[in-house]
Amino acid sequence: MALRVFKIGSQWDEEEIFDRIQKGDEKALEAVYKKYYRMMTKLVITNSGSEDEARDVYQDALVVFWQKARSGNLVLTSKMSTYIYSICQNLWRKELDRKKRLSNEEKDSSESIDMDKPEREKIIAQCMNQLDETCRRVLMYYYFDEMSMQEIADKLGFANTDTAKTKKYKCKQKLDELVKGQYSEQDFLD
Amino acid sequence: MENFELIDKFIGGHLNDLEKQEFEQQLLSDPVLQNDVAFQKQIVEGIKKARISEIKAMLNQVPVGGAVQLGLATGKIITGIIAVGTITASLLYFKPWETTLPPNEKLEIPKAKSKKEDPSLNLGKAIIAPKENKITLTPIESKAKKEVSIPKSRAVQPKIEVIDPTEEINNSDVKAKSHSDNARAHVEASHIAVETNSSNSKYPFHYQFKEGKLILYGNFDKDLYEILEVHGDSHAVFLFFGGNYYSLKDKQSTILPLIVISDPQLIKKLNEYRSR
Repeated sequence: MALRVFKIGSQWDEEEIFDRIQKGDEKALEAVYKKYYRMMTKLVITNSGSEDEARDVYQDALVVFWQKARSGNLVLTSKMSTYIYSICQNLWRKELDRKKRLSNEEKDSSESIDMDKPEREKIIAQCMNQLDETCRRVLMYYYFDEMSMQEIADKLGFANTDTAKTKKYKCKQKLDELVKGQYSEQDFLD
Repeated sequence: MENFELIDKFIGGHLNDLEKQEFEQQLLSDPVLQNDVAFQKQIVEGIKKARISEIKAMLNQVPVGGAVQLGLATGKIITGIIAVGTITASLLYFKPWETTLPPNEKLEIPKAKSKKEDPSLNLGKAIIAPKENKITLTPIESKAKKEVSIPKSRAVQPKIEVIDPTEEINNSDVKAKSHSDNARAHVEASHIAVETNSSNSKYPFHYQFKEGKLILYGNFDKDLYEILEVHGDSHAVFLFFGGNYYSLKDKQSTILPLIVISDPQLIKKLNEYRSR
């Protein structure tokens, strides 16, 4: 059968999508990403940015939006797209400033750059990958998503909050040991 | 680490003002504690970065090529459908690949029975077929042709020509302004009114077409759902939900169970469209 498909997105309304993002529903974030992709990337592309930069900025903006929504402190007083758009604008402005500054620094060579930082980040990322999936989730949900122990227990199927708390402590200890094994603590101090 | 919990709360901003003040005073006079805090800050930063990378990787998997406009009025889908129907019916009627019309054919202005059936609608937008026709006709015939649309006998039941999706998928970067390009511009912004009803325990996973709307019965809160509407030799509507496709009989108004599609070829074809 030859097909002509009318592609249609989610039927969720904006309020419902936002509610789901607040509850940590990643599918809802994906829907938002898809929905506003052209609008948001156009902002960067029409302001001296490449498509890759546009995608990066939009993704960073959604990460910020996700974190703010998850914190429970964000009350939308405008349309969600307007809010995300303003984050994109700010991020792209910062990026343009950074580029400009970098260009000047190259000329002046006056400021020193911490060359070890990317290396440290790489080490920590590698150590994170050595943890089992549950540990990774517990730590990311706690430190980035700022989930409560109850939320973590519910999401990962732990018996109760005590289990979640113990797991988080052990996982963090494990990560600390792994990182220390790669580098002495002194290496992490500026 | 003795101060593990305390450092954790300090970095996470979970200490109250008094606790924070005391901790900062302790920090000033304790170099070991300073080292611990600096180390933990790096670790927490690394965890956050890992999560950001994960979210961004997840977003990178989301197909955005066929980005859609949500929340469009139902009328737009009708416009899209009519536009496609018009284009294809026009192409079929005018047959631009043929060089002449029958010389004595009497052309009449058809009386369309309904908006949907009237193929003359949107001719201003769907201009490809008439334009091509104008080139191929003799001047007199051409003039007559431009003033009228399509004979009633052919207009009432326009056969919606089929646009082979495989060709579109394989030649998605074709630059030429073909009729399918114009059609696509209309159809991508379409919309079907959908309601969900999770309160009826009698219908845990069912659907119904009622008064022009699609009603989905069951719990559709746990995942996104998408409606795919198909126009080919026949009209078909599909639901994509929870990683599965379901065929929807839009001509029936009774409540029917949702039955998952298992035909791998059809699934593949629908997947190709969804991923665009």
